[in-house]
Amino acid sequence: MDIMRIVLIGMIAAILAVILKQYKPEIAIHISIVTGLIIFIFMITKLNSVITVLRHFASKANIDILYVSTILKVVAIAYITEFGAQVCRDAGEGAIASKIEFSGKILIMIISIPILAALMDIIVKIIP
Amino acid sequence: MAVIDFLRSWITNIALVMIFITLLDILMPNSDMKRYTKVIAGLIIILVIIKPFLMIKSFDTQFRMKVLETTALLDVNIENKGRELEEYQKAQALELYKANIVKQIKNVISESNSINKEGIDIKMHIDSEAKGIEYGTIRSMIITISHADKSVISVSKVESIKISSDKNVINENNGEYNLNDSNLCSQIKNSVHNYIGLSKESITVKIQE
Repeated sequence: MDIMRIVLIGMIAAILAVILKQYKPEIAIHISIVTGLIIFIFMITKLNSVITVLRHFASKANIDILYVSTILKVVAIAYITEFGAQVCRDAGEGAIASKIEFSGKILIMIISIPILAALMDIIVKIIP
Repeated sequence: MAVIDFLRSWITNIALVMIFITLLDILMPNSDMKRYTKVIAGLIIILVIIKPFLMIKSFDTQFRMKVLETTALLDVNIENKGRELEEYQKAQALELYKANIVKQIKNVISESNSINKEGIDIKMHIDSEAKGIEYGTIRSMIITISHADKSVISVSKVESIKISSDKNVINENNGEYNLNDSNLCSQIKNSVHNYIGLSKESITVKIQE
């Protein structure tokens, strides 16, 4: 069972981090970062299969592949940004975390701007 | 019948997109970023809903064109900025490279021929084709020397004056100067050639009085 593994990894890391925090706080931070990475990579591979199914589903349902790839990209950027920001926040670097989030937002904007611009264009043109 | 078909495909499309977006909503990270992904999802739902209106007057193709156009514009903008920066950096590097070579050659010339550094002026032509294999190769070099003090040269070539006077050269003084100068030229050429390995043909030395 995957969830068992994940929870066990998380619990062991949490206990280790709590114990170590009294003696060596910096190593506790390392443990939390590495645990986060392990769980993230573990789950990203699973997410990959979900996304493949969604893609297949979208192409069957005749949804435009342009929109599907756009929204998948947005979700991926959101995930990676979130992960990076949380790791930084755990390490006590709130400033860097907010910068990472900021850049993630800008990248999402860049990806979504073509659709937004086209939509605005159509709205302007559709009323004669 | 065509209308019914169209309606059916439209409605199923809306329903499917709704399900798709709901699934993605579960996938989305549970935080601040969710808002942003939701906006994009909302845009796509709007697009699916207004699709029949887009089909009037072939707005559909126009829409696609606009999307592609904007994407291309964004890509080009970002790439261009990068390229400009890169070119600027390369130009800066070339300038620095040139200045360093000039400095070194001036040192070499002034040391080997004891000429004052201020009197040396160096112009060179460097291959600035950034993608070429020979990027940065020195093509040719013009060294201009305006000598303020001629003491060194006259000492080194006393004999040549004698020879020219033996042969009754009419323009004695000129001959002396020319000989001295050409000797100096070849000396400078030699030292520069030895220093940077540039062929002697591509070095031009001019001496100003």
